[in-house]
Amino acid sequence: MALSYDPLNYLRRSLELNPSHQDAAYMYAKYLIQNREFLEAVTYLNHFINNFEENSRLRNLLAQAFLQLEKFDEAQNSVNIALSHTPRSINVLHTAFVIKKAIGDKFSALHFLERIVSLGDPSVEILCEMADLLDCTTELERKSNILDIAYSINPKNREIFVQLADSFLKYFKNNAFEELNKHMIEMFLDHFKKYIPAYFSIELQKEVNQWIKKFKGQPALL
Amino acid sequence: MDKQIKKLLETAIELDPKLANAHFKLGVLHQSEENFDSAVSCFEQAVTLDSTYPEAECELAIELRRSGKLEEAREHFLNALELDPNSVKTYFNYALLLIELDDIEEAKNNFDKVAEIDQNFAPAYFQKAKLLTNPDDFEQAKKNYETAIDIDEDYLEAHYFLAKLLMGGKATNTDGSSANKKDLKGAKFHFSRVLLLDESCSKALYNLGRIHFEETDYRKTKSYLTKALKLQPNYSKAHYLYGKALDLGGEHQKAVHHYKKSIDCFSDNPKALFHLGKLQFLNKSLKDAEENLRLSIQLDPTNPKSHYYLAKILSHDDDPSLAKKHFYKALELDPDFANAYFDLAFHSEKSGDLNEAKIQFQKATDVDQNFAEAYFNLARLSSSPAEYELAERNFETALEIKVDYDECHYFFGKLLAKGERMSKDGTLIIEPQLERANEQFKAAIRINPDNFKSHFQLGLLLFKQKEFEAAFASLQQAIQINPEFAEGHYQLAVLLMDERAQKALSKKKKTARSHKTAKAS
Repeated sequence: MALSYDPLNYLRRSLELNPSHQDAAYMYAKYLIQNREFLEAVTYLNHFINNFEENSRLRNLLAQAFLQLEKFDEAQNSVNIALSHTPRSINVLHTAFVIKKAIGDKFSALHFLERIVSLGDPSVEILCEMADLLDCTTELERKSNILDIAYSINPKNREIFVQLADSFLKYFKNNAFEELNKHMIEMFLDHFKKYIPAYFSIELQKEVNQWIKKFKGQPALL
Repeated sequence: MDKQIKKLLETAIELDPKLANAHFKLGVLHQSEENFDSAVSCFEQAVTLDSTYPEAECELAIELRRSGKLEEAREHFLNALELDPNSVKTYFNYALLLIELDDIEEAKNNFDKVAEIDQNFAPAYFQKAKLLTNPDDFEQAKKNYETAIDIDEDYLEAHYFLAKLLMGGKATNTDGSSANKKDLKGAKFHFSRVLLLDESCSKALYNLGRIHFEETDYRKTKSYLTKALKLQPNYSKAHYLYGKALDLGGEHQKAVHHYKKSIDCFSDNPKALFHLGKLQFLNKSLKDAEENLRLSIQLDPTNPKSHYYLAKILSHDDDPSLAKKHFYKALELDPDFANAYFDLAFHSEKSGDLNEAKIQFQKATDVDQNFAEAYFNLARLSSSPAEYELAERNFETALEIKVDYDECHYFFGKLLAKGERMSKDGTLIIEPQLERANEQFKAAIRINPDNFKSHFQLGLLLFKQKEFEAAFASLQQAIQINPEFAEGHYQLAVLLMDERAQKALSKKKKTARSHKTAKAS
């Protein structure tokens, strides 16, 4: 046998020898999706699921492939089956979120992200996705809180910090000065009283400074 | 001549019917002509006419014994002895009668009396020796046979029975403990003497075969038994022993033939039925084997091995209790039957009763402390984290006993690589012992380089240890040995999709490519 370094050769041979090998099937389908061969992935996964065992991980991949093909109904159907098998799988919940987000169902998308967060130790990416969805002026307080947690997990992430600053400023602007939440002001000053990062745009730096001054001039608020 | 004498005696009786001596002599003549009824009437006439005639009393007693009138015979022997207390013939024949009357001790006394009167009367020593069957009397029996032979060196029966005594060798020491005084060389000598005296003595040939069988000289065993069977083709015991010699020599088909012949010649033959059944089991003729083993058990329910092999056959049945019953019976008959515990454990494992299986493997190790396979299987079944220490200890014991036990190294390696054990407070601790596992897999490969599973597990382990090149080589080896091994191909794909592995293997890949190019050019 000639020595091969191509993983696909081995993967295909493994599936030839044992077509019901779930891990190999998962890896192969994932490879097809990564290579944007979505239609092939759908065909392969449907064939596997129909001929062998129902499997949550493979259903999840099928949902992802359908999503890429913009077949939203099929994608939702597939992810629902996956969720019926593994309702606490972060990967499946994330796919469900992505589908909902893609079809513009913000409410449901958020719901799936909340389910992921409730499972504990959410990743920075999940928190950012969540914050991203909270784009309504009434949700700015919650958005700031979430970005604050994300930044505390990864303090070197400049983008999150910019978003956090932006969220604070939007909140301050959209609410009457006297009605501002004391906790929000404290959080803002904690982050920016002593230090304003140089990578902030000049406008942003200016704005942050203005609000610091404003709060210092109104100690009663603090 | 005899006819003339007979005529003269009959004339004498006609002339004087009260002539007791004539009646006696005529009786002796009838006796020699095997005309026993007439002999009895003559002897009766003689003793009626002369109540002090010991020879007539003795001969009458002998004839009455011959015709089965034992009590009457005893009466006339006693009359004869009263009239002549020194008659060797009377004592000897009376002793023979006493054997028939099951009065062995009195018979011995009478043989002693014979020897006392006539020290050269060989049959008395021989017959007495035959009565000394208790192990306590071994030496005395031997001495009596030897005396008989000293007196008459061509005494065939004495040679034969002395040889049998020496072959058995069951004796006791002076303190009452049992002793083995087996003397196969002596036995061979005396059986050979029997054959010199009577070359058609099939029993001597058979027994010589038995001695050589005990000495594991199967070639000579077969040679003697062939001769015995030529003389007596329906000799069941000889067929049985021939079968065993062939069986042990690996000639199973021929052995089956002889076991069957042995059973044909003597159907109530549990030993031959057992060995036949066992061979049929080994040859996978399970139906025939079951039938013969059941027959063997019917005839001799106390052979644990018959139950054991029957249980092994029944373990293929859907109902696990059938086999269990016979395994238990075998163990009841022989509580030290390690293989029965071992196979019962496998049977229990097969029927899903893992706890029972573990108990039986444990018992097998209790009975036979060098039973490596039992330790190994006990360890294999103790795979839960709570039993980690037990499994580790048993794997180690198995490997101490049997160093070259590749399967054991392999499973031990898997246990160490997994490293899941339960702490005293019940928390699960995962501490894979990768270096030790590595050693075990390598040992398994060293012993059996063709075991693809060991290569595979070593590959996975090396992957974990980030030794990507070595992992790749091991997994490659696994699929080269078994190209149909799907999991091996899959894990190679997983390895090659790993970024760190790709980096590590890129050098090798380049070298391989340049080799290919060089070859092509």
